[in-house]
Amino acid sequence: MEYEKMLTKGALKSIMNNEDVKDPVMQVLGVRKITAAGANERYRLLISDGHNLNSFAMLATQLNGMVSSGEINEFSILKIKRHIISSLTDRSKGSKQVMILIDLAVMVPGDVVGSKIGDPKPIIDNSGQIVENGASASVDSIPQSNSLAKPHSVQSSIINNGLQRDIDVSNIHPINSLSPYQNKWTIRARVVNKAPVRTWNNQRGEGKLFSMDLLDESGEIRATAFNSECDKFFDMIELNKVYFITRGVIKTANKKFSNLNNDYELTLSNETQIFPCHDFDDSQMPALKFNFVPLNQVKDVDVDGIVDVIGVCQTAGELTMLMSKTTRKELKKRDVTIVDQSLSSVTITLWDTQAEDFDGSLQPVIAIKGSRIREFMGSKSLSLLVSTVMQINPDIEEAHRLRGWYDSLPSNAEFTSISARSDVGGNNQFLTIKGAQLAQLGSGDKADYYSMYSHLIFVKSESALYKACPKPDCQKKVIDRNDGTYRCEKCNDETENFKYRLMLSAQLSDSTGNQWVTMFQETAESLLGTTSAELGRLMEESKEEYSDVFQRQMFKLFDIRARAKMETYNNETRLKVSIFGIKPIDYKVASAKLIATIKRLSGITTSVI
Amino acid sequence: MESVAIPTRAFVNGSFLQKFIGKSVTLIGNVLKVSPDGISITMQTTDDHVVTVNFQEPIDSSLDGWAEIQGLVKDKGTVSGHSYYNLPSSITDDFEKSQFNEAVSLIYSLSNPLK
Repeated sequence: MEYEKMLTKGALKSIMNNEDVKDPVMQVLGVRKITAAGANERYRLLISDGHNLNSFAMLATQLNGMVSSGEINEFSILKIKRHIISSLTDRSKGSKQVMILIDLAVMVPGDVVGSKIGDPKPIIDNSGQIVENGASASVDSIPQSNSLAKPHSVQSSIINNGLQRDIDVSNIHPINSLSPYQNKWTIRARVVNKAPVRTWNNQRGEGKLFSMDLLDESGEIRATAFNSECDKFFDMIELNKVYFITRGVIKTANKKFSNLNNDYELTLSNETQIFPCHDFDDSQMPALKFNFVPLNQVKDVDVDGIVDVIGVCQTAGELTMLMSKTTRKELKKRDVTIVDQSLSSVTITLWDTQAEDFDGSLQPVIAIKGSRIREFMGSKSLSLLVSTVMQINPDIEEAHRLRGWYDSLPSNAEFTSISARSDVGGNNQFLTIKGAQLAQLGSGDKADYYSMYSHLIFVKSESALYKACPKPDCQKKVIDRNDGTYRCEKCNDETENFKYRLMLSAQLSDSTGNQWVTMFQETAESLLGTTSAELGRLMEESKEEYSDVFQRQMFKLFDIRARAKMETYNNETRLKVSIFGIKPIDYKVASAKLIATIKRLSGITTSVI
Repeated sequence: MESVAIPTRAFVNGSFLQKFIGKSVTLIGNVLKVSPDGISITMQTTDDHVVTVNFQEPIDSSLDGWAEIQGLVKDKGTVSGHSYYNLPSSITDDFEKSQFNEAVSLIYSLSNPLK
């Protein structure tokens, strides 16, 4: 049978004995999905070379698609272009040799072959007697002896000596082949990002860590060092240098903290060794890899998502100081607006030294790797994290292209701001009262923001003002003790005066329905065109003038920005709609907007006149 | 509470008069001339048609600027007026005629989804 001749007979045995077999051809006899710790699924294959079979063949995760697409199925004949042998330690069974398939090609699909070739027998697992090949002996012997569970302290001194003598340069693993199924590997990678040392202090104790991002031709991975490893390696690691790194714990990556294109991440352990790679052509090693997202797509990425962006710095705000509420530390920040060819602009918040040192006067190109998406009042912006890399005018193709594009742009070019909080905000929906109710805005976990045109039809003017704590940063309602003093529960203080603050309960109406809303201090002041202090004076001195202030705004049409959120108060959950923007309608703008909306909804594209 | 149906007013411009012959309309226009007897006026509509409006009784001869009139359409250039309202300049100074015309066209080219 011709298929039988294709198989590289005896290859499995040679491979398991660490012999080099070039492009062995094997048959798949079974595919089984296994769920590893973490969310990643992997496929375990039963493969045969015609003489022997091996049920410990794992498919590298990047090839998972070949199974789900049906490319690899039972009886397929494969050419294995790249693989690695790894010893997996299992407490009950001792160590096992696992073959990880990194690169392969399907030669004949399984349904064409249709049957098992030959009568393969399992290989007798003789992991204890595996022959090591020359140069790597000292490295390769470690996993074997380690599986005997000798005390670490004794082991690590041997490892140190062994490794420093001879790193097995011939046995470098590509980063994308690393997986928790391996415990002996060496990677050669460039440090493309090195975060400063951070300390933590929580119930479980305190400690410190630093992380770095490693990159080679095949991919990237985040490595983190804790406590003693942090001390040991932090000073020796230099940004942009290339290192050999061997041994460490590989685990499933926490995507919340990393946007690197790798399902795994590396934790440096007390067995980890790192050596600078000197005799190596530096230019071969790729520099920092970006995965840029066009700015107009940033608004579609979920909050707390991590993205890489590039853009021209259009404007840079002033450096501002603020106090962190949780840590009571003073923070410095600067907001920078960048634009790109999608004609969108996004605001990026820089912190501390990056904020201080930033100079936007020459409108530099900024490339940012790993910034977090934040949402505030319905608009999205980006914020730099400790792990974020920011490069000013980087020497990369995208940056040069952007520069050329921006410099030839007419000065009146308009950008759609994703971070804007005004009407042009990208995700600001315009609705009628009934439309907002039907869309069940506010019923989700997060508040929903929308705008509408509606009439003010009622204000509870008699309960518009309340007496609040007079301290500048306190808005708490005070308790009138009826002895000329007022008590603030929040400040735990009694004073002889108070300030008036506004909290309007009002009803809005449009042609589709009515909505009760709440308006707080600033919004209410802008609606009434007066201050709460002045209104308080009128309330005490002239009831008539006081009510006129409200009557003047009644039945007018307003352009309104609303926030809807379910709130629970006294075990009663109800929708609360608050207004944070109210201004007299601009009829021209409004009618142009309504005409455009009617045309869009009715499908009339050109002017009907 | 019993609801009372208020008949909706049919806002039109000059070019729609033809389609509303014999019907009641509301028309906005810039008053060009009030006849000496005060019985009729000529006005220029938002789409620049010149329309004559005849009233039953003499009207205030000081009618000037933009006015809104209600009446029954006689033919494409004549309306029998029932009432009028002189629109204050505070709201007509910045009047966007093209938007009004476009809105009128949309009203009659689309069905009313709220009815």
